Amino acid sequence: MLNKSINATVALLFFAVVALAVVGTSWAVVDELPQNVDDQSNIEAIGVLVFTQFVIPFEVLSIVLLGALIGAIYIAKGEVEQ
Amino acid sequence: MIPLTYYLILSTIVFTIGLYGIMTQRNGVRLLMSVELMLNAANINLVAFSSHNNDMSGQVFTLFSIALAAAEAAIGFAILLSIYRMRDMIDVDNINLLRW
Repeated sequence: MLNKSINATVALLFFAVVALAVVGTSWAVVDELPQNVDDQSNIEAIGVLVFTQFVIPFEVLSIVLLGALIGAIYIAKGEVEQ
Repeated sequence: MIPLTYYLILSTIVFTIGLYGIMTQRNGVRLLMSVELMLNAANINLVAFSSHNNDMSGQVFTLFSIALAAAEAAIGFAILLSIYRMRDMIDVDNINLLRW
């Protein structure tokens, strides 16, 4: 039980530090969010950006995902019944 | 408009819950869940800053980060599966041998 309370205090201390840091700093942000009416949830803008500016990371990501999932299947396959 | 600090406080809360989860959980599956929680807290931060600084690249990067989180979770569960198959338990405290 003592272990759990130590963990809880560590987590709460972490939260206090980061929350103070967040509240303390003055974020230089635009005061009114730019809403373009036609693309409300900016899916269109994300789609355009992915296939124009971020094409290479997108393709590399597909290769990484393919490799990771093939690796996961190989690890999880275990002993084949010889 | 929701000011930026609310998003940051929310993501700090979610990150702290994930951190507490990682420190206390003994089961491997719950450990991976709290890792996912911490990852999503970082994604919340990413999207909040991206929308508040009027720059879309943060939200695109979040897509990549979610995809990588999925790949990492798949690998994590595959490893847990093979550990369970060998040792019949995935109690993270007892898995301490590098070679068994």
